[in-house]
Amino acid sequence: MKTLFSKFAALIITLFLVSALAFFAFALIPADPATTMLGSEATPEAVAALRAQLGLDRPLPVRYFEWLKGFLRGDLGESYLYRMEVGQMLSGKLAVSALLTILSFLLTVALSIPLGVLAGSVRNRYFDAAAVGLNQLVMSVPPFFLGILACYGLGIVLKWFTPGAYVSPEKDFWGCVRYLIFPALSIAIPRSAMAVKLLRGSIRDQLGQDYVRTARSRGASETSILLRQVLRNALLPVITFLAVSLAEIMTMSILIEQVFSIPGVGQLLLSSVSNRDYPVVLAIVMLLAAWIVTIHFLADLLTRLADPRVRLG
Amino acid sequence: MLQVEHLSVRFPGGAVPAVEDVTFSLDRGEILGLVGESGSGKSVTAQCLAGLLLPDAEVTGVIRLEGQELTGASPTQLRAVRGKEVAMVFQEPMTSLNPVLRVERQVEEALRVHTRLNGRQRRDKALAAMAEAELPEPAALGRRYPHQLSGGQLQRAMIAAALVSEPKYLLCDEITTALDVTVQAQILDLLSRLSRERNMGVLFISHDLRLVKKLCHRALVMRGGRIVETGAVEELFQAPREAYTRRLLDAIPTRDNKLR
Amino acid sequence: MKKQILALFLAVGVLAGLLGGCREATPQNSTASSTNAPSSQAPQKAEIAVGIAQDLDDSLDPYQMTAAGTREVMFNVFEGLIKPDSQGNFVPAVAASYTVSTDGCTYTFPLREGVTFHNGKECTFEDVLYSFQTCAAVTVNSSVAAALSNVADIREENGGVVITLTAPDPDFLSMAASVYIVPKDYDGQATAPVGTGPFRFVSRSIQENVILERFDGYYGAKPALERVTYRIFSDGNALFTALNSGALDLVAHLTVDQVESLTNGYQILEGTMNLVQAMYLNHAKAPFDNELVRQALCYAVDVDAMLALTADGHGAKVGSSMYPAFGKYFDSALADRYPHDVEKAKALLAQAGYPDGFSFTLTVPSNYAPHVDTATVIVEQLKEVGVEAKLELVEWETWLSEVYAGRNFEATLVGFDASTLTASAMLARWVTGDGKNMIGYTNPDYDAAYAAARDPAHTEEEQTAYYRQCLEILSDTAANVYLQDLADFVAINPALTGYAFYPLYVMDMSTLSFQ
Repeated sequence: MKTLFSKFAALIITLFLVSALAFFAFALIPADPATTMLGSEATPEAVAALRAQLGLDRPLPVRYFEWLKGFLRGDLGESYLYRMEVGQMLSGKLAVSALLTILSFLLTVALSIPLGVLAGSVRNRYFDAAAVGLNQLVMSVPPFFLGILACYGLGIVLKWFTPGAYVSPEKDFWGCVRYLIFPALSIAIPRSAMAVKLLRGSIRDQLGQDYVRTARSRGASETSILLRQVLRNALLPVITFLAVSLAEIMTMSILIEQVFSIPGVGQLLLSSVSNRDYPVVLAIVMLLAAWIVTIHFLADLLTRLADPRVRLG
Repeated sequence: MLQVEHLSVRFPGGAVPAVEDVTFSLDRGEILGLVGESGSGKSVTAQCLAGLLLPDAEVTGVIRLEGQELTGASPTQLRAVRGKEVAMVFQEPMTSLNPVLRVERQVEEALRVHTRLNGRQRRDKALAAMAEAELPEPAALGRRYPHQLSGGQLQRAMIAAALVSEPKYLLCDEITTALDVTVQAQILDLLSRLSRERNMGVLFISHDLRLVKKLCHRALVMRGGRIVETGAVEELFQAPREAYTRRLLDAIPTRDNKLR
Repeated sequence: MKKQILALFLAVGVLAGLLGGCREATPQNSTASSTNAPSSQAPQKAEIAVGIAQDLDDSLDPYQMTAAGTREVMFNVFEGLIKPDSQGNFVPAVAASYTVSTDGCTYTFPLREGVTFHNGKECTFEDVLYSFQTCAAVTVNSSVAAALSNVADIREENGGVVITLTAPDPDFLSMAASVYIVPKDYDGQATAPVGTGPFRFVSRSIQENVILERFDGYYGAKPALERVTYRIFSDGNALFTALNSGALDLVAHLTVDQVESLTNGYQILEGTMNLVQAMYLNHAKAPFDNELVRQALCYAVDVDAMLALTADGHGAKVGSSMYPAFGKYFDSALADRYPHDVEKAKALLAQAGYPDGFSFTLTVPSNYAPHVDTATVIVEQLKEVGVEAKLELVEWETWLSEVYAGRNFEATLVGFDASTLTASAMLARWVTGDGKNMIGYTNPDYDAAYAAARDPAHTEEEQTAYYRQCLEILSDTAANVYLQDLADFVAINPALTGYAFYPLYVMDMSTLSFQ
């Protein structure tokens, strides 16, 4: 209980620090929203007027605390560029990014566990060498590169899907899922390769444990030993990895959204950073930070639940 | 009767055989000691009997169970024997149990493999076996995980898991080594009683001659993979013929002599 | 063949087993033909998808919008009393016609009968008055604001609008065209704009799309297209991939490289971007304060060779701060004022005191590839005369604040376009002390010629002559190293006709139709 409380406190402090860091670091980047918005027709007077209108002429700490005050009340502020409530802008984007993240995650799990068990249990030297080699190769492919290959190979040449023909989930949920399968695979495949490597090693390790010998001495078959005894132990480190993957998938999807033209949080973050649209950037940074911190917290909790040694002390 | 004739085991890359030309037999109701230094081939012999050696080990000789030849039997036939006719208990109870499964689930493992009993029936039998292995409150202990039990309790649970399918022969590989002296004594008493009551043959492997002397009827002394001396325990300890056996006897600490 | 092998590798090696079912799941619009035909080749409804490279990421309020991309789209939604056509003439819109008094101070716009806003409200004098007043008060376009500050009075007369100026303004029509007419007492313009144009705004999904639909209550000729979806691709490669896959019917502002690597049956139209690409030199920094040095650079640069290298020879040489579509002012002779001449460049440099050349930093925004390509070639060409230019790429936003607003640069390579259809939109910025005069150009002759061009006492012909004089001065003094107006390629569904290039940065959807 005490650890839970202190972990929660650490979570809050982390988020607070992230917000301050993001806010002040942002102020250091050259360019500000006013010059960006007015473009090459700007005059110094117009820039000054716009800065005043946006409140950018006030000192940084004042602006930070004002933002913080709003944030704590649940008010994310208004986008400088779009002149819209940030919360309203994010709600639609969030659904898309969440869908992409969940799909990527499910695919990662669906690919990595069977393949990992296979790679961990088959005792054939040639199969093993081939599997490890292929795995190593796939693991090192960056998702965005895989995404570009998928757009070209599966999209333009094979026409399994039309790159750029994204439909929003509100309009056609299954159509959206069908489109998102491809970016999700681009994320899931290298990610699964990492999980397969981990699971394979973990299974190999567990197969050498004494309890496996015990199970054999009871006459249990190899398959039953693998699935009933070894897998649960072997999955322990993989569970943590997969849970943390949820956080990493979210960050990876930023690039993947770009490749597949998916209008999610990632795209909004990138454009808001270059437009210096602070309210939007801060909201997304906080969101991502909260997501990552929460995922690590949950991963920790999940490991505890899955391992009786940790759970029961 | 469990018979071993001219058994030799050689591991790939091993310069000398781990076990060479070993011949002995174990009767039901008998407790046979197997002593020797570590590396003398005791454990390999036991694992060979239990069919636990890796497939790349080169095994020659004959093992018979109640006259039926096990060497050369198919893996499926061997699995039917393992845990059913011949059960085994290992040295490290902590690592020999699966850390993420409840104790009762592991005690009933042999029943899952060898019988068609349902969950409740298996559980009843498992609790009975645990009671027979003198575990206090088997129902409560069975719900726990291995790390929540003491070493002695774990070893009793391992014995219960071996007993649950009522095997004819029990192979005990250094099962008391990790336990403290008082628990050791209790385990020996338990084995002695079980062997008597169930007419079960016990192969008791230990490097500790004191325990062998206390428990066994007969003993084999192994060195370098061979049996160097064999005989009734009393004879062996009174008048060891081999210098090696004498050395083993001399190695018993005097403190233990006092305890006697 | 290579494509097939690559695709096969991908399909078999990685995904085939998993995605066996997805073949049936292909979106309906990818037809069975062997090429990726544009999506609406056999349209049931007159709908098109237009790919755009930038989100409409600002306020959609006509007086607040700043981004060129937003203006390009909203041109279809809003109209002024008058509006420009593709030839650069002003045609009546909300007004039925217009007349100018002989003293140039009074403009009369009789209002057209039956003009309604997209919200169903009828357009009245009150709305026009409100629009002019609001625009004057809040517009972010400084030249429009300046022009409106010259308005003395707006009154209703015989169902028309009469606008009186305190002093004549030759550019007033153009400015009036920029004052979009909006309904009075409607405060949702920022996110749900309402105007009188041929298309009405339906929705905007941030970074996803903007949808316009035909406005059936439009007074003029109804557009043939019922619905236009602008799909947003903030990544240039993704836009091009979508175009190549046939998901789009129309994409403008393509480069020659992109057009050449398009593999399917789009028709390609070529126009110009209506901007002046130049290497802009900071006159506040030595040695660019020296006219001889600037002229030397002009001689050192070989624009034809640059065009051949970067765009297969497409693009138009400019020679001064005016682009060819502005025929009234554009002087093609200036484009050849500085022929490529290495010896002359070296001689001028020696005369200026730099016989061994010099080095400087050329800051270029990285977001627009053609500028970067041009700069790369220029850097090489300058080496021939001993001038070392160090290419520095910066983010567009950094360029705006550091280079443009901060004037903290030596030389930069960008393009300037016109925000309104006036010569002053291109030329006002080089007047001494102007807020937009980023290069710090100071030339009394220029200032005098510009003032004369703006002087209402002169006839229109005289004004035009003064503007042309301004352009000559810029050229003679080598204010900048003038390069080109970039070629603008449009890829369009072959079934579509009626695309028109404007001398402004707009894209008119009302003239498009399926054959």
